[in-house]
Amino acid sequence: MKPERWRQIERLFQTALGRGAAERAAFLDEACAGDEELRREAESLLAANEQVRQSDGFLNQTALQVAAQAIAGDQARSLVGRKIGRYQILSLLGAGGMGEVYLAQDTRLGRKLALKFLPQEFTRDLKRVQRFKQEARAASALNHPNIITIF
Amino acid sequence: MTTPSDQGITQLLLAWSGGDQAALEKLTPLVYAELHRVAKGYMLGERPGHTLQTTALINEAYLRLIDWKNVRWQSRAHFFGIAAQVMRRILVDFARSRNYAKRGGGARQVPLDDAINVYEDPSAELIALDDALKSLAEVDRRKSQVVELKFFGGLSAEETAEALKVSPRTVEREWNLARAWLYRELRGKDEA
Repeated sequence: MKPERWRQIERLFQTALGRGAAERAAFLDEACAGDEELRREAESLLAANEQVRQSDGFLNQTALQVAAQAIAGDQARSLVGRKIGRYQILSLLGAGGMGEVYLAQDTRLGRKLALKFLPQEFTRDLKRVQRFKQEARAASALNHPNIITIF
Repeated sequence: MTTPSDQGITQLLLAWSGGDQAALEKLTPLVYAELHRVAKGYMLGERPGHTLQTTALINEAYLRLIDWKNVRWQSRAHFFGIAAQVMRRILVDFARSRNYAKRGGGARQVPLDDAINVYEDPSAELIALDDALKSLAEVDRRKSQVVELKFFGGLSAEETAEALKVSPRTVEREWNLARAWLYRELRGKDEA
């Protein structure tokens, strides 16, 4: 967009904002003087302004809030502190695109172990569930001090 | 209330603006620590009656990170600009790394069936905004600076006005149009 055009749009936007809703249409009619494209642009920005003003969307927050909420969301979905079967989940050891690994306590045998979960968002995906099982089967077929034991 | 770490952040911000790229790596964990502190506040905030506490936490976090009280008043305006730029870099990188991991490394194409199940991370908005802000800067640099200072830097209208050497009223007007433009731009992409 040319700078002069942008300045023209800005003038319209700011002046129209200063007028009441009733006067606005008449003002735009006169100021745009048949320039339909200019009018559309000004009206669309005025409408966007109304919508964003009333929204509780991220543009009315700060970037720090948005990022912190993303982290808070992770923690809300986390399994830490829950008991699944005989395993008490103690802490998150690591997470990646393919799964989350938690430190857990086997309450029956009284030993610590690592539990790997498929991310929640993938659990309805048959292909990923299959791949996850296949990975477990492949690893459990191996027996070596440097390869974890699967059970 | 001045602690050694306050001084440290100010020095790192100034070092970064002087071209010291290593300063950014030292600043990142400090910003992350504040992020986690605020995130914890949000977790507690899910219980009623904690909303005010969360707002206070955010203000404190910004105060710790952008500690202009330790900066001589002549360079305050300059310092605000640097702090906001650094916050933008770090928070957009944070969002990129999260969304990269969520897509399983980003190198693979995800079939549509998988994509439906992928949880939309709220931080993805920061990446889209960063891109839109670059387009805005091409048409109107000052508006992009207003957004950088207010949204990324967490500065008030008065502080933003001081940084840009304009009146708070001008900041408010510029912010209104910039926010409307960005909202339209980002929403348009969602619908596409």
